[in-house]
Amino acid sequence: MATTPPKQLHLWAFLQGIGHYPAGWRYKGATPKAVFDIDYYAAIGRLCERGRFDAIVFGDQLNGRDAAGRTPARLAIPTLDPFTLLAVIASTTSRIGLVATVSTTYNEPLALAERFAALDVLSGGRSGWNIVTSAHPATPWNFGEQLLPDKALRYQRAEEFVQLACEMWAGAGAEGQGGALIDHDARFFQLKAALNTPKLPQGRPALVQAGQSGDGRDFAARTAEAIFCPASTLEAGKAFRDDIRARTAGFGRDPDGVKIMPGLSFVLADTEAAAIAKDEELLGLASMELCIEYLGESTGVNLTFMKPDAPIQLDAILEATEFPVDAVAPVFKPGVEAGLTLGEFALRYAAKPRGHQTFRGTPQQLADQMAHWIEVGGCDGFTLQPAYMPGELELFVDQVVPLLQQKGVLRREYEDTTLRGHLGIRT
Amino acid sequence: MLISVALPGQSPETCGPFAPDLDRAGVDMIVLDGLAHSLDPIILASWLAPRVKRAGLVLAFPALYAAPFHVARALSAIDFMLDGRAGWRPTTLGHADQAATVGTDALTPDADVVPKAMDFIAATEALWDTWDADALIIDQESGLYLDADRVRRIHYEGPYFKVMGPLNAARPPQGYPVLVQSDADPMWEAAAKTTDVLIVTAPTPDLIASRKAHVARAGGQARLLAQVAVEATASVAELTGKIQALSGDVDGVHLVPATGEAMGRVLELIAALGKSAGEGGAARRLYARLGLSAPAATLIKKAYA
Repeated sequence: MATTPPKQLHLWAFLQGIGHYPAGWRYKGATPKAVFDIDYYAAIGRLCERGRFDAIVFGDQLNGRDAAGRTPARLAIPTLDPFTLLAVIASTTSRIGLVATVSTTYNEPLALAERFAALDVLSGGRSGWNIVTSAHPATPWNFGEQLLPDKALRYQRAEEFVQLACEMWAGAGAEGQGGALIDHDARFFQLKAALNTPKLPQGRPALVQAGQSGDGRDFAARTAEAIFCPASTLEAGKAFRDDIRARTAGFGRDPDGVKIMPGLSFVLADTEAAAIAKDEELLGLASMELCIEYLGESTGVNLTFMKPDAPIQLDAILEATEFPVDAVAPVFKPGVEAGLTLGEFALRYAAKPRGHQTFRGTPQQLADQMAHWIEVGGCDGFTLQPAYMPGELELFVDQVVPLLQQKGVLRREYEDTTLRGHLGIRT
Repeated sequence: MLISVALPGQSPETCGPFAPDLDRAGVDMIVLDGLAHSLDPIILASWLAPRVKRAGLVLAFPALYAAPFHVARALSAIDFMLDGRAGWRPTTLGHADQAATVGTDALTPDADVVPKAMDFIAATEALWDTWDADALIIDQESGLYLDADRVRRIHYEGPYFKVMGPLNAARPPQGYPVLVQSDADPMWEAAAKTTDVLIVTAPTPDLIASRKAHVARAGGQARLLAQVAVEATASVAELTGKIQALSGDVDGVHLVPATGEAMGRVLELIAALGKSAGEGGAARRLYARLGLSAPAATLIKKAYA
């Protein structure tokens, strides 16, 4: 009797600076100074290719990382422009996908289309676009504006932006011309442009999104080929996936054309107890000062002036914050209600990265859990979020990847040369 | 004699080999002219970075239709990846053709072109100034990543651009990338004070003298390069003679291969001019290679509101 091969899982590495734990950079397996070095990126690219990942994703922001003018001293800021890093990795690899997080709110369609076209051409068709809108109140201040457009408008601009960019990519390399002339006159953009680049090997970048809210889910279901999400439990993961697949089908697309890739934060060791101890050690590196800075950065107020061992001065905070008050008050509410000091609350808030559970255990346990999720339809793959870099990702590639390959759920060799090919999109 | 070369080629197959060839030949600067390429210069420069170990890489940017925040960040990253060998060339050339591509009523009126380009440079520099050179600490033991007193908002407000900062990227290793200008660009005169390399596109003795005088009057330190076109059929001996005749008046040459096919001639010419790859040791920062103590614009104290 022939057996069908098990469903294959997809692996992406979401590389946020020096790792996802705010104090991860302090851990002994972290190399925080290396992130300014070109050789580090070549090494990361090779590591992820060795792991047979579909792609590397870099996050990004367009705002200063300060809280009301004071930049945190203990967080691993700054960010290097992700397009630059991905192009460096493109140059030193041959298969790994390269996904840049780029906002539609403070960018222009042709410039963005040109940038992705160049990345796609130079990488042989491995580019991807994690489509985001800007939500941080300080972002407009770096683009000559005062206020963010409201959420609905940001989504509408994003829709038009993506549509226009796709038209430009489709027209690139038009025979004998410098690309097909697009004459676009609509609500957000009025321009006449041709994308004067060679034809993109993939046609267009893979389109990726993180869509949680209702609007976001519809946008993702209409346009995305891969979707990030938090998935704290298998049930939550399954529910999200089922919902997206239903919406996708509702828009007339094949649900298999959208890969659901929840975040996976992990800490590995030879025993579960050792992994838990390691995680505690990592979390313990987040000092109260760091947590207060992190909390301040998230709420637009410089909290370093307030007494950490005093109760939360909510009135003073709300008066001082540069963010909308109704976004800030709910953040502090649990701490105020529990009667915590500012320092105590900050420690709870900041030490753990939000939105994801962290797997703590052995490589075998992790491989088993991942394979199980795929088998029961909890997701189509995982967006790995190493607590610190590069040590924890190296552990994953060295110890978890071979187990997944032995189970037959992860490719041993790449079959395709493009990112959309790795995603199983055949157009 | 300084040697700069404009990189030809539209595809990885051509740019890919040309850049390391030029690097190995010992050129001082490789220039990516945004208008001549069909590939975005930021991506192209980043892709080339692992392949160019010693030469500087200079990127041209449209100075009127790019956002200072994006440019400041990208150039910071590129200067880090190149370990202090990045240059930039903000330009107004071709802007009328570009205008409609960013918005059908985006065309900058003639009278605003140079002032806006200068404001673009100032705003971008202001963003690099939001970080001091020694802001990064990165001490795992103490947990201090940076010195918070060395990063700041800048509240830059110019006639055309307004940026708050701080940049979410550290100050480039060179302070600012090396600033390159071409005298074919109407903005060159206004930029002369802080230009590090000025390309003289029609290098007659009179024009060279006139450019030099203008730079001196502006109080600038710019190195002058004579632009020389190189055809695939050029005579290396003839070009060598022509260049050597100029060499007293200029600091070097900027070679522009007419096509990819001219690259062979370019490499021969570089060798004939006596250039060779550096003798071992670490690659120098681009401004040092040009014989400058620092990029000119970093030497000027700025006042921000």
